[in-house]
Parts: sequence; structure tokens; C-alpha cells
Amino acid sequence: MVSDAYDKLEQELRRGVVVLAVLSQLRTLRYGYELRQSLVDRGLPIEEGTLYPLLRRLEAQGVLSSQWRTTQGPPRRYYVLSAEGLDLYQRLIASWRGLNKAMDHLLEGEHCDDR
Amino acid sequence: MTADELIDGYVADVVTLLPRRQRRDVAQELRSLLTEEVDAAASGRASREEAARELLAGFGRPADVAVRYGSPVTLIDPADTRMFLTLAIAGAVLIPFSAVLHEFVAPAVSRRDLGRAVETAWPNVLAWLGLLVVGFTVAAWARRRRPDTGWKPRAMPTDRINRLGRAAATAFFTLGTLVLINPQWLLRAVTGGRAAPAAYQAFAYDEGFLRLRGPIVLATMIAGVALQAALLWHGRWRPWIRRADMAHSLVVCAVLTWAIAAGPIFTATPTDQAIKGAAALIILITLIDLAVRTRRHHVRQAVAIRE
Repeated sequence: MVSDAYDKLEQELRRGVVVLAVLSQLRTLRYGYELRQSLVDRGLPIEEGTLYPLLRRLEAQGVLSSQWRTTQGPPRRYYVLSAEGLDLYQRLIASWRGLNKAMDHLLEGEHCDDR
Repeated sequence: MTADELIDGYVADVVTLLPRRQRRDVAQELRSLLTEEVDAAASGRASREEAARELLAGFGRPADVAVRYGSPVTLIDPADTRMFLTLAIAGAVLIPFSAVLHEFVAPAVSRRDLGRAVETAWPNVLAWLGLLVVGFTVAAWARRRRPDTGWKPRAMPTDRINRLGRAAATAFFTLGTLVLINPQWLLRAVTGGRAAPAAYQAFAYDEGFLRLRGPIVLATMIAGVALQAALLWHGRWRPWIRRADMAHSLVVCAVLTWAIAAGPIFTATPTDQAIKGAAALIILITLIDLAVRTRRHHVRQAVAIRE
């Protein structure tokens, strides 16, 4: 029961950072598989069934722009941050750092209480 | 099946659930990505097909993946689901029960078929469920277009009663009970004794009813008057009065159902059917009222606990 709850809550935590993680890797053009590998290499594996649809949703929202390219191998759709996406990314970073700081304070406080 | 056929089948299952304008583009991209994933997973394996099967099994249900490509349409808001289920279950219980009551109202006892009555009620249950879905969908759509301003404060109902209103209702109920004891008396009082004999005959009770059912119905009504008198005396809902009132409501429903099911109440068929129809309506309203009051009572109890 608690183990189920852990899995769900951990999944929710990860879901909260997926968008920021994806945006962080799309300052340069990347296609889906390449992006996933890049996230795996940096310690944040994201399921394919979640990542690929997410790219299309972000594109539909104007956060990303995309283009088909055939220069290296088969045709692939490449994504990159749009101008609005870049602005959004900067704001999300600020928000993330604020949250991180607040969480650090909260978690440090908990350690102090334990002592 | 080859790995490419497996991929094509999966992609087809995903894009068939997408809007037409998205299908071609998503199909092309998803096929290319899956092919690349399978190629990477197949390196070091004996079979590319096996790698494809494993990858696609872990990719997720096509319907779930398709939903992630867009904004899923929600017909009934999750916040409304409990209310929807409550109303749906209430309808699924009350509609067949009303059909059974309707069968009891019918004059010929020998031709009663309760099973058939319940069967004929199912289309109405389905219509009720359809109506609920449409109603909740429209409400959710309207709320999305014009978001709710939030919660509006309102006073919590108290245990106190409106004595004047309750006294008037009790007097009306007592008068009704007296009229039912002897309806011909009311007819005589209204017409000054000039009504035709047939009119008096229309309000003559059936002998069988007077033997057992009549006295029990009367006792139930008198118990109701006594409960209302106790409530008036105390001026507020005491816990025992509330419990007794709820139990009394249940008894009223049971007694009235039995009274209309067991045989004629009046000798004249039109009067008999009219009174049975009215009784059936009282049973249904009492049951709904009982459910609403029980729910409110539980809420009040939950809010009253402060420690």
C-alpha cells in the first residue's frame, strides 16, 4: 500500500519537472529519440509514450517550433525552443529555483527538528 | 509479423484516435521514432521482432498515448462525478420502483406483473442516465467557458424550527387525517347534504381495507401528528425526534406501499385509482426527502464535531 503510494507520488514529482527538463535540452535543435537519449544520459529517463506526445503539445502551444530534416539519415522532426518558448523557459527556471530554495529550507528545517 | 508491421499496426491504433488533421504528421513522426527505438533495442538481440513487441508493450495503450497528443475532452468533470453517481443510482432505483407502484395502482390485481413492470422501466432508466450525461456535460462546458466565481457563503441550517409554519402544517395534516377517516363528511359539509347518492358512494371505503389496512394507515398518520406535536413542543429537532421522524418516514413508505398493493381502498374504481396514485406520489417524495434529510443530517453531524 505505502509502496504503491510511493510510486504514485514519485511519479507526480517527476511529472512536475518533465517539461522544464525537456525545455532545457531544446535550446538547440533535437529530434525525439535524440532528446530522450540526452535526458537518459543526464539521469532523467522519460518514457517514450510520455515524451513524444509532450513535444507535439508544446509545439501546439507555441513553446516549441519544429521542422522535418533529412540531412542525417531518415526524415526526422526536429524541435527547438521558439522565441516565446525561450522566454517561458527563463521564467520557469526562476520559478524552479525559488521552489528549490523553499524546499531546501523546509527539508533543512525538518532535519533540525529531528535533532 | 515483422517488426515494421508491428510498428505500423501500433501507429495506426494511435492515430485513429486523433483528429484527422494531426494523423498523417503524427503517424510519420511516431513511426520514425519507434523504428529508431526498435533498432536501438534490437542491437545485441536475436530478433528485431521480439525487440519491437517488448518496446510497444511498454509504450502504453494506444488510447492513452493518443490522449497525450492533445487536450482530452472531459464530459463529466471529476468534481461532479460523485453527484452524477448519486443521481444515477437514485434514478436506477426509483424509476423501476415507480413502475412497480404504478402496477399497484392499476385496478386489476389478478393481472399484475411486477417483473414486466420493472422490464418496461429500463428504457426510462437509460433515458434518465442519458439526460444526466447531457446535463452534466453542458454544465461542465458552461463552467469552462465562464469559470465559477467560487463558493458563496450561506447560513448553516440549525436545529430550531419555525413554530408558526410547523403548526400550520401540522393543523393541515391533522385536518387531512380527519377527512380521510370519513371523506363523506367533507362532501356533506361542502355540498350541505345535497350531493347525489353516487357521489357519497364514490367515497365509500372497501370493506377489506377497513378491516386491517385502514386502521394501520390511520395509526401511522396519528403517529405522524404526535411526532409533529412533540417537535412543536420542544421547538427544535432533538436527536430522538429526528431518529423517530426518519423511522416514521420509512414506516409510512412501507405501510402505504402495502396498503395500495394489497387490494382496493375505495369501492369506486376512479376514487380508488386517484387515492392510490396520490399515495404512490407520497411514497416517492417521502423516499427522496428521506435520502436528502439523511445526507444533511450526516453533514451536520460531521461539522458539529470540533475535537
